[in-house]
Amino acid sequence: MKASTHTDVYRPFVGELKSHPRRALVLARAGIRVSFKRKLPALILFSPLAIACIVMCFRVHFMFTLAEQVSGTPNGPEAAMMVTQIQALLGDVVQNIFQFVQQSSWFVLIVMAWYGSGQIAEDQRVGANLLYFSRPLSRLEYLGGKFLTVFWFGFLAMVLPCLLICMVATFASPEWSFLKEEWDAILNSILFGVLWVSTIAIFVLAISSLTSRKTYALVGSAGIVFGTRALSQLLSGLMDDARPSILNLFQNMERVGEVLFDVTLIRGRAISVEASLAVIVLIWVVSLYVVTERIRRMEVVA
Amino acid sequence: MSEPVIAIRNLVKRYGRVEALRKVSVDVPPGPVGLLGPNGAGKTTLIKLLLGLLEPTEGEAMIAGCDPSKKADRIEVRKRIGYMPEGDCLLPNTTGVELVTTLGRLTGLTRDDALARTHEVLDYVELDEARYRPVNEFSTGMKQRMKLAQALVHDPEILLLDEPTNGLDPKGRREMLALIDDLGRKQGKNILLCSHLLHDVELTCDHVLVMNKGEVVETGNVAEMTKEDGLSLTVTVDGDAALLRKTLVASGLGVEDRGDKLLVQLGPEAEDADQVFLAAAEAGVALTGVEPVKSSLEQVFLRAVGATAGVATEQTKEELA
Amino acid sequence: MSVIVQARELGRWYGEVVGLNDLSVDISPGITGLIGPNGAGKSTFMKMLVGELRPSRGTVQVLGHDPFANRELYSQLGFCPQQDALYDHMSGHEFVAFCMRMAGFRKREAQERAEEALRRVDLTDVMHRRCGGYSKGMRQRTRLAQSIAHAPKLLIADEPLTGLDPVARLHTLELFRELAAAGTSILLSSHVLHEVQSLTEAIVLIHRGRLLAQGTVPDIRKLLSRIPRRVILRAREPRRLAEAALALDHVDSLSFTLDGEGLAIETRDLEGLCRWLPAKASELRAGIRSLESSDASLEAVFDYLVD
Repeated sequence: MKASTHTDVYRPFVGELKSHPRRALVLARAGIRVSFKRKLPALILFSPLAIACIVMCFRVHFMFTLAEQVSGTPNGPEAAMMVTQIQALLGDVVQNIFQFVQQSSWFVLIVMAWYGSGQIAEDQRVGANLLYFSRPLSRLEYLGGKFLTVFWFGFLAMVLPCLLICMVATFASPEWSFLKEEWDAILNSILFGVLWVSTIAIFVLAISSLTSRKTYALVGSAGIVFGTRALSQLLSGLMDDARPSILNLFQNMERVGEVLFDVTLIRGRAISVEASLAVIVLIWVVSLYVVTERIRRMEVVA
Repeated sequence: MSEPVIAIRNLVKRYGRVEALRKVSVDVPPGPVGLLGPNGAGKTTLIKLLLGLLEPTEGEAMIAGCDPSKKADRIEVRKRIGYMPEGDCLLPNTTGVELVTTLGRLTGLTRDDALARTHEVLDYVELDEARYRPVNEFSTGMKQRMKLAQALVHDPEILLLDEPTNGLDPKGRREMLALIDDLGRKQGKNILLCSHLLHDVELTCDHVLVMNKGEVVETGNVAEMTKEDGLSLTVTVDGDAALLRKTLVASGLGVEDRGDKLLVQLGPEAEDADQVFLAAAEAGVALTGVEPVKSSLEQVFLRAVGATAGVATEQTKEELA
Repeated sequence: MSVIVQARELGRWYGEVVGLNDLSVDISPGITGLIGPNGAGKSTFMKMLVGELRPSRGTVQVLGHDPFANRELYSQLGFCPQQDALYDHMSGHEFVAFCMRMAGFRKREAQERAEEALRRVDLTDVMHRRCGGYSKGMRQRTRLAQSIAHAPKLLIADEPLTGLDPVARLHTLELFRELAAAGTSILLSSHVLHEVQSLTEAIVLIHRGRLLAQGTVPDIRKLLSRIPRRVILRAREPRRLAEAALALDHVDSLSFTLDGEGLAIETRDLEGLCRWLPAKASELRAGIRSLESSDASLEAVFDYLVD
């Protein structure tokens, strides 16, 4: 063997830099990893959702097994009856999913506000934007990374449980009938979950970009959502009119959900689905404007 | 002078009514360069313009052949620059390794490259086991090393270092300066070093740029600027200074008293201080110091910024905003 | 008064963390540099001197009084803390005047003193603007103004030069000299040792919460007799000089610098070497261009003591 020494302390990098790395994903991964480091908040925030999801799964499972036992051996007219029974059941499952979504929505909001409000605020507080934007990272990629981070927590809290319930229903229903006949419900619950989660994500990020303190952002985003809700209820009560519920993000989401899932929770709603959609679009536009403007300032007047 | 790394032409930057940079034109040569100036002279503005973090009002600043005010160039040029900001800027709850790896991947390193480079640069800055700890538990010295490491992870050809020795104790400062010296003089990095400590710049930089009130008021080679004039010496005497003085005058040299030292003027053809030693031998005194007089970087700096008026030129952030 | 600060077995703990441990030191009037690595306990010591912290054990006397919660002493002490303690909504002038009001001056006099102190730190131009808009250096100087405005007998300044640009550094060092000449004693900490040395020879060096050395720099260097003194010569004929120096029995080692012109001599008898050198150099026509014995600087002493 030929003798050699390698005492150089600094070694130049010989490889190449990727021209199109998925920077947003890198940023999101880092963000998620850091957020999950603190175990206690994760446990407190996610365990109620996990419990609710498991309960729902069992309920759906029991409904199908019970129906099968009751109907006994199918023959003649009983078979036909069972088909109608099962169809009613499938509808019930869809309603169950929607109820789960509806009931967990405020909890999802808290989860996302908790994890999301620090995202941009903390960067501004410590000045980490200088580290990010002195690198080949565009503002869009930065926003994308932060959005994916917050979205991921919402996904875990809302979309994943829905998918689990659908899966249980699929396996429990006789001959995959849930998947065959109610596949659009699965799609709709994904769609609805994504809509809700992404709206909250962009909203939380917008609030987060406005301050440099995580707590302010947390209080701000939760305060605005719950504050408008309280305001709409107060106004509705005072005016004896249901129209102020347009101020309530939850109501608007429910309205959209009703159409998507084809269920009616409240008869004769005061607000049309178009109006609700308009409110959601408005939230998106304002939030996007705020967050892009703030990020532009983080890059340029950093 | 070889091809400049940074070429600035008629660069103007205005914040509202205030001119932070007034028609700056300067070429920055390769190698380690010190950027000096009082607070508010426009150093930070210049660095941010070079990174494309600010848009110039007029003129252009080219760095490594790219124009950072153009969007496509900005992304390209940032791959070739490592920036060490002045502030804290390290995200809490992140370990040293995570932070450098993430930033490396954002610059375009693959996952494996990023990890390998991270450990290499952390070894280089001598951040040992601490690299697995969250950065918010770091001491000031560790944070500064960490910030240097993240600037080096993608092995850039240009380094912009903003006050890298801030808050460091004497040992930490010397180690940081040794790293900067190695990077500039041995690893061939082009460094722009901002510092308030002229001593730091004198030790690590070959070239300086002095800014004041938004203008570059002096540029030049450190060695040339602080050259010994070869004609006068500061002599420290242990013994009868008056006797030595008399002997020196008798041998035809000009002597002045400088506190407890003597300032000796040598003849124009003198190449060494033999005359002084001869006189000391004659007078029977011991010499503890014989140093050629040279202007310190401090004097050069104070001359360039117009000395005493400098303090009043500082502007508040409100004026700049 | 021969001693302005007297500490005896002074200790301070923060929970289980040691801030200062068994520090006994006497500080004389004049300027004294308090130096040590980060976390050595400099700030802890200073806070105990101004009565902000109560010692966990031991005693401390400042100007002959126990400083803890001693309001009478406060009027004789000026403290310039390291922390950025300014009210952003106040102007520099308002802030200093407010501090003077707190110190017990009447409104009129407080304002005059504030104005004068801010003039001395070169902030007259901006003193009526909000502190929130000040640069780091301006904030630092405002804190300093606050600590000198009531003409204290003893000024305690924790890293007063941090964040200052070269011009402001120079002015501040000059201000300290003026204050000292007018009879104010100053205890200041700094990491920039050559600046400390340009102000004073008297230093207190602490490390890991303990006193490592005190006295003047040359005296401390003399105590470190186990470490040979180092002399660096630049000459036309360094090897002939080296040959001659080899014969001296107090010379421990000789080495040449890379460019071949420099010769470093390590000796146990610096005076002897310096007495020997002129005659020998003239005899050999060695062509010496420079001679320095740099290891008596504060920087070198610090390095020897703090590894």
